[in-house]
Order: sequence, then structure tokens, then C-alpha cells
Amino acid sequence: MYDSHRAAILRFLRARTRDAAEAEDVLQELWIRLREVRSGPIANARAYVFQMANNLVLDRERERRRRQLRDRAWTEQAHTILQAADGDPQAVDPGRTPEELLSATQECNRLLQAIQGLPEAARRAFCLHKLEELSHAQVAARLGISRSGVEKHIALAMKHLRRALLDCGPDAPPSSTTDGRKTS
Amino acid sequence: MTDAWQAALHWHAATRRGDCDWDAFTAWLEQDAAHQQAYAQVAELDTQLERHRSALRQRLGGMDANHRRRAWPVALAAVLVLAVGLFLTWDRLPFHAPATQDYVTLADAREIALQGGVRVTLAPGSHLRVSGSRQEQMDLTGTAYFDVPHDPRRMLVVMAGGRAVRDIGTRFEIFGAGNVLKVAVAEGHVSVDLPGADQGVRVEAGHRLMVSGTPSRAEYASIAADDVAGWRAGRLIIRDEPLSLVAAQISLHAGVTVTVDPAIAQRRFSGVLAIGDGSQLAAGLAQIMGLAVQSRGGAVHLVAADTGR
Repeated sequence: MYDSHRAAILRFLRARTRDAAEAEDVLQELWIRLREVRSGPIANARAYVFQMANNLVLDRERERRRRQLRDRAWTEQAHTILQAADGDPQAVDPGRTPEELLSATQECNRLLQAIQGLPEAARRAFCLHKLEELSHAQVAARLGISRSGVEKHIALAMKHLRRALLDCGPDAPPSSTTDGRKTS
Repeated sequence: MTDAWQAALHWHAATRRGDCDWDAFTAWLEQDAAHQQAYAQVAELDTQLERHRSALRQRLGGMDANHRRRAWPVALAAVLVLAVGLFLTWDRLPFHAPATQDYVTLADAREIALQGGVRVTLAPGSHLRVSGSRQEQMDLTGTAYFDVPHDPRRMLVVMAGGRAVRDIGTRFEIFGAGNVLKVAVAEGHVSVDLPGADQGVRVEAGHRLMVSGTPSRAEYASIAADDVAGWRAGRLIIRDEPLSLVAAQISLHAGVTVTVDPAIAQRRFSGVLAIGDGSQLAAGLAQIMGLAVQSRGGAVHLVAADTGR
């Protein structure tokens, strides 16, 4: 099932990562993972493989971001408990170091502050959908607005959060092939 | 840019639901580097939100229960002093309070005063849950009468019988249970969400809307405004309602479950029943309608008289 979809998946990975070498890497990893899968028949094999490919990219993006944050935290807080480590942040176990714990708390605090800073209407729609896990239609019913209104509110809220959360990380996009827009 | 974000949210939701058109998604990603960036950021944000969802819900829920504006500095200060390990003590922080309030009645009705001068009379056997920063969101099972001062800045939303009833100021009664809803308006108007309707259905003063069944069926009819919530004066005033709905309302006052045989559930009843202590309501209805009363382990079942023997 992998072979028959290989070309389409590679194309997806290239579009998804905007990095030909990275796409090949992920494809390789996907191939290994798929050989390990020994479950029974899968209802929609094609969708399953794409989903898995996308998840692998998400994992990589997440790991890359975590490493960037760790590096940054390292330079900012060189005096913390981690000084006992051998000085190479890459060597720090990515599991449950005090620093990781701290960054999880900080991440939660930053989210909280960013959500509280949202415009009222966007905040309410966002909280009902993303935190209370109501569907768009349910949120629309609760707030007395249209579904497209809910979608706009949530897109606006996510943009605000992105600005508040992601932009405070390193500006450089993860891969060199991403578009070279000037930093504002 | 907003379009890219809305589209990214759409694609992200599709991949999460498992009904993504991967070729179309690929084409969208190929279109523009900004698309790929927006998607990656949406996915990352969502991961963070998922990781902290319960903590955020708890902390923001606590905020909403209090006055948000006033609570801001408190919350900010609390956030600033949070350090490693302190996050374990969230529920002990001062701004954490239950975001919802529950009111339950048994044999007696109850008057409830809410923010903004809203007064609710909760009929016997009913449950009202109130939430929202201005106590403007409610969930009702049973019957309640609402007296809402006009305020266009506040939209009161009552979820009952699986539908939303909206109001900015009027007097009305709602009965809701399962997928059955009855709304009767004494003054002003309310709006009811019905499946398949883009806009809410407006219920005017002196009218009532009944919704029941699967697929649901709605009926709109005029009533006397004075008859709305007659139970507050000890009378159950019914005008052309199916027996199943009458039985459900009687159940509240009788304190026992009253059901009707499906064969006669759609038969209509109009009339006034004296509530008293509630115990004679089912028998009274049976007498008027020529029904037989069966007792089933504490519950009351009404059947057509000829099948009752």
C-alpha cells in the first residue's frame, strides 16, 4: 500500500515541509514505521499513510521547536540548576528535567495570558470551541452568532495567540528553504 | 492572511477528524509558502492548547465566575508568582471559584434572583444550571418562568429540550426535557433555534411554540398571555397539547414519573387542572380524557380505558 502511494506522499511531504531533503527523511522514517505496523486490515489505507506522514512531520516540528526553546532558555538562564549538566543543551534528556517542567508551566502561563488578552467576542468563541470542546454549530448557538462568525472569531483568536506565543520564539523558520521574507 | 488562517484551521480540523482530502490539502500547501507556515503554526498552537486544556479551562473558568475586569490584576499577580511546582496548587488560588450554579426544586417552586435583575421562578421537580460571566447562560430541565428586564447588551440563552431559547428582555415560560420543548411568551418575544432553520424562530407574546419528536416537529399557536405559567397560581393550564407533553409536565408537580401509552401519546388535551399537592393530577387527567391509570412500581402509566383492564 505504501508503494502505490509513494509519489503522492512524497509530493505531500515536500509541500508540507518545503524542504526536499527533509521530505525524503520523513519518507524513509515512514517506511520504517509502516513495516512495524502489524495490525489487522485498515479501513482506509491511503488516508492512514498520509495521516501517519503528517504526524511524523508534526513530531519533528515539535521536537525542533522544543530544542530551540531549550537552547534559548539555556542561554537566558545559564545560572539555573542545569549548570550541573555538561554544558551541551542537546545532551539534556528531553524528558522531565526541571527546565522542561518550568517551560511547561511557562507555556501554560503564556497561553493563559494570551487568551485573557483576546478581544471579548473572539475569546468567548475560542474558549467554547477549543477549551470546552463545543462544535462550531454549538458555539454559534451559545453565542447567538452565525457559524461563519464563529470561524472568523477563532481564526482571529489563533492569530493573536500565534503572535503572542510563537513569535516570541526564535524568528528563523525551521528550515532554510522556507520563504525568505524580511523580518519586520 | 486571514483566509490562509481560516483555511489552515479547516485543514487542521479535517486531518484531526480523519476525513481529509489529502490531495487537495497537498495542492493548497503547494500554492503558497504562507499556507504551509499557517498550517504548521495552527497545528503547533493546537498541540499546546491540548496539552494545557484542563488547566486552562480550570483557570479561565474561575475567572469567568468572578468579575473579569476586577479579577485581571489578581490573576496577573497570581500568574507572576507561579513558579515550578506551584501549578499543582491552582485550585487553591483565590480566583478559582465554581463557574456554574445549580438550582434544583423538589415539591416546591423556587424564586431565583440573578444578575441584571433577571428573576426566575423554577417550577417543582426542575433543575436549572446557570453559568457565564453575567449568569446569562442556562440549562433547564423541567419548567421555569423567566422575568427578564430589557437589556440589548445581554443575550440570555436557555438550553432546554436540546434547543436554545434566546432573549434580551421579556416574560416567558419554558418547559424542556429530553428532546421536547415548549415555550410560551407572555410579553415581548424570544427566539428559538430549530434544526434546519438558518435563523431563530421568533415566538411572539401571546403565543407558544412546541417542538417534539424525531424528526422534530414544531407547532406554533396563540394562547392567552395570562395563561402563561399558570402553575404559579396553582393551575396547570393546557391548550391543545399532546398527552405525552401534558404527562411530562404533570410529572414535575406529582413528584413521580407519569407516562402515557404510545398509542395515545399524540391525543390532544385542553383544559385546566388544579395542581393541589400534585398527587391527583394524573387521576384528574385520566378522568377527563377517559383513560385508565396503571401503577408501575411508583411510576404512573396512562392507557386508553379499554386496554386498561
